[in-house]
Amino acid sequence: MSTLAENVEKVVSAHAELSAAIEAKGVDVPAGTKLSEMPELVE
Amino acid sequence: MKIVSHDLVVTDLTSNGVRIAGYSNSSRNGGGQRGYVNIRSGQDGGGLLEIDAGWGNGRDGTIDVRGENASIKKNNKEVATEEYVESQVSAKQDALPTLAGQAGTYNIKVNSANSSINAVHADSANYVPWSGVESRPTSLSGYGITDAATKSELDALAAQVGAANAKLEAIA
Repeated sequence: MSTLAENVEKVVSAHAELSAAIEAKGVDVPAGTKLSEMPELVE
Repeated sequence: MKIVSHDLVVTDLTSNGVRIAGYSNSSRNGGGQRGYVNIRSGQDGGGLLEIDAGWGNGRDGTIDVRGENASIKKNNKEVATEEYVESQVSAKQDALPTLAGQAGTYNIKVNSANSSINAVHADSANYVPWSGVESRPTSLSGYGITDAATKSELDALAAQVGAANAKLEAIA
């Protein structure tokens, strides 16, 4: 079982990868965009 | 000597007082005669042997009874000396039972600040005010608790949680 710090790092990495994936689709992702703001970028 | 007065007062002493000595002659049967003073009152009068040490420092009034069987008696019962009393008390103390391993209930109260009782095994204590418990520990280890997180461990965990929350706060 991962530690709290390891899980946080996974979420941080997933956030960065998701941001890059959205931008790869041609959508601008402003710096500082949070996870809760990303769904509207892919709709 | 024939006493013709009610009072016999020796006032002309220039030395250490009056000595009453029994006659002793080893050639006679019985060895010696007692030095004997009998103070006897008339009816309801009361006998009194008074030793007045006089005035000034260092003038102790003393009755010194000497000899192997020396004794001072009251109503034909020997008056205990300080040495005798101390020896008896010491003997009683030595004879006191040791509580270890003996069944029973013992109520012990020590009032002296210079005394203490160490209870190796106490089944219960009816009442001990918290203020009366001295040398109270101030740490978990002092209480012998080994299954609780220490302050340093909790501080380290709080620091980890704080750091994780800061990272999530930036992206969540």
